[in-house]
Amino acid sequence: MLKKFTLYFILIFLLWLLILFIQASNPTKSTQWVFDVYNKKYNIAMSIKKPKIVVMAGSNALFGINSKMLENKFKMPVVNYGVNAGIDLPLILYLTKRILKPKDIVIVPLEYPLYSYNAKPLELMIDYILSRESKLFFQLTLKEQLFIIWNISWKRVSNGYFYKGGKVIKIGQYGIHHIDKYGDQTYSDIKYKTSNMKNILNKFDKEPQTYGKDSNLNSLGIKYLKEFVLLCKNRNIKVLFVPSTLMYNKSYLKDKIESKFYNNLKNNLNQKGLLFIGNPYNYMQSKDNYFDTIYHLTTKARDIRTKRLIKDISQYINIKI
Amino acid sequence: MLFNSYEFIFKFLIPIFIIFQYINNKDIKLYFLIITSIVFYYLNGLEPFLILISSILINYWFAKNIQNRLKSKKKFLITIIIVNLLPLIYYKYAYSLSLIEESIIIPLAISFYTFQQIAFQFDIYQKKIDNITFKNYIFFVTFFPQLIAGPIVHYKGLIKQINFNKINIKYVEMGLILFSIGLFKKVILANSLIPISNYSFDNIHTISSYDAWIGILAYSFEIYFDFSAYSDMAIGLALFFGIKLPINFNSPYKSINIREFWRSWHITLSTFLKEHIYIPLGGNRVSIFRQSFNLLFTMIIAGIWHGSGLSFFLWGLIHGLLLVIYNIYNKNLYTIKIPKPISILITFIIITLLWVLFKVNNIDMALEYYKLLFSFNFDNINLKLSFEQLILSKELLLILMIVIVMFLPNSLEVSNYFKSDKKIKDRYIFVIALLLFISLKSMALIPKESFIYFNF
Repeated sequence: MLKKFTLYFILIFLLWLLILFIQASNPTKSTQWVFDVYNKKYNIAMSIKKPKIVVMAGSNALFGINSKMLENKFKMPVVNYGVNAGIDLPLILYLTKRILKPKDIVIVPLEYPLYSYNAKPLELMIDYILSRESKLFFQLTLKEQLFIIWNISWKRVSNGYFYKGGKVIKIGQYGIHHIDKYGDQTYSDIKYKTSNMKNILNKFDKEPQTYGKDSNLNSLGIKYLKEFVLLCKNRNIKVLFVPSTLMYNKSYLKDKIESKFYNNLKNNLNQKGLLFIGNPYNYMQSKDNYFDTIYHLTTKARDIRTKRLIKDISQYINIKI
Repeated sequence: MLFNSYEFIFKFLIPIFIIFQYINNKDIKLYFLIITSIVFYYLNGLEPFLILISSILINYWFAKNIQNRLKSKKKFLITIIIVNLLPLIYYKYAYSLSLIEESIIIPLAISFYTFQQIAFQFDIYQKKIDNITFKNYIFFVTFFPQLIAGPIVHYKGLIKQINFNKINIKYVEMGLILFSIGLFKKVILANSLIPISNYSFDNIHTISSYDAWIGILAYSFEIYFDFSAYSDMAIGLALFFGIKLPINFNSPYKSINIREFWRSWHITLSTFLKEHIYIPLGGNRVSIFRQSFNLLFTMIIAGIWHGSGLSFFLWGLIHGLLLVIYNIYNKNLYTIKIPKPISILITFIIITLLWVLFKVNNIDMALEYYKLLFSFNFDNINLKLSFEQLILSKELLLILMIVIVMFLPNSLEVSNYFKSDKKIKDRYIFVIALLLFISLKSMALIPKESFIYFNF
């Protein structure tokens, strides 16, 4: 009986792979807006013929960069390629590589947990890869592939079969209808801030995220970033890592582990060969300057952040690195 | 370490099972299981570990003394029972009795190993056990499949099995089947009901009577599958090592009366209470009045064994009263013959209603919940559901639970089928493999939930 049991267990696993395989590339609703926004940004990027500045990160860039200010300052076209950190580092890198051309400059204000990405893709990345970028699956490490196969939810698989979607989303807070010609988010003015959004921020104010505690700079994420930098170098593309914005919390200064993380991030990344410019604390703003999450700045606060960014990267933009 | 975790299955159980099979010497096998069981418990923290070890040492010393003593044996027995009960009373009741100011964490499994050791001391006193050795004794208390939440075993029954002869394939097969079924019950069935019951009990002030009924039904099946799962897994795990633990659960919701319920729910606890409280008090060899008192007293002990607080006391008391009523009713020659399905339904509803006291652990909240249940306000029932809503509805889930509980074979029946010499049908093996696959896969997606009985 044990032999048969083992055989059936393997058979069921293979059946599971088949079930996943059949539904691969069927679009689902959960990542539809991310897909739409990337499509729009891709078209913006591909329409630029000159060397450009690309801002690559998650939504802290989407909400927190005023591309027009960067363009005016550096006299180069800018495309904000930040969309959502939830799709995780491998996918962000994969999608960005498509639009890079020689002499481009990539500014990377990566959300802090992405540096510690360690072969455990988030739900959104799993969803996105299986529904829209299945080729990337085969470029991932075996550990990541197994993680995806094992961690994809039953609901996600059923959505892959039964969701009849794929249409561009043009309503709600997120989507192409709120993206301008640079790829910046337009719907983030303080006047749109609801009490629910305030509650979310208050919650995070009381229970701050502890990225220092969970950080791992020997992660697969760092390996991916190093490979990305090398690829860019070979193609004459400059990569500048800068701090992400993050809602300030006093524990980030007072807590030993947290403060050590932010204080040492620059040195640690530089040692890994990733040129990091700026001080993370200078990019943290108070609760009122955030829109709906601890990463999303309001329109006004976005300009403060962009000014800071310009100040920090100015000297690096025109020199050869 | 929870049985329903990857750490337990892949980092603990599988390596231990493989190493165990490669050990040839019986004594080394025993020592190996003792060490792994101790490590298993030590991972819960140093303080509970020290309490357990102290308890084992003290009990062993007393047992040796009771055995060798000609006089004052009874005094020794009473002393060791008190010594066993003191830490249990302190950790479980000191805070609620206002003996200490701050609440303390109850050491895991203390209720179970205390009762198991008390039963052992009774066996020693009654000369049911001839000779004990320390290694056997420590194995008897710490054997990891049954340490945390039972079944409560007798020394003799366990120790006679530790001859660890050649690997018994039939036992391993049974173990795998029971463990797979138990894991499925916990990970898929019990855990899927947690949000439904929690929602109702966390929102007493805002939910309707209908939601309150849904909530208590969900909790009734949650605790059923949770404890049934643990019992299956414990028995299954022990079988991997050639040990057969006693049955602890036998379709209690199919009971036609309250007495039958207590003969099939947490069987080893009921047996303990019967052997060590009810019978010594006189059992049913006394007058009906005294017998009723004995029943009430025994069930109150059952109630407060589960937890401190008035609600547990009341839960035990009401169960006791129901047993008394049933007992009197049963002795009456002119009893009304109730059809079996009706008896099952009535018993199930009564037991389910009493789980309210278990769940809330607060008498005011329990009363409020009962008030809500019996207001019978079903205004907010949504009868216009789409197909998708219907598939994902709480109601359909509960109907599924009823079907599983009432109409599918229980673990005992399943294991008897696989144990038999009949040719096992491939489709049944496939189903068990599928249950294990679904459970293991789902464990990656959902937070680990502890077993309800770990709190007791």
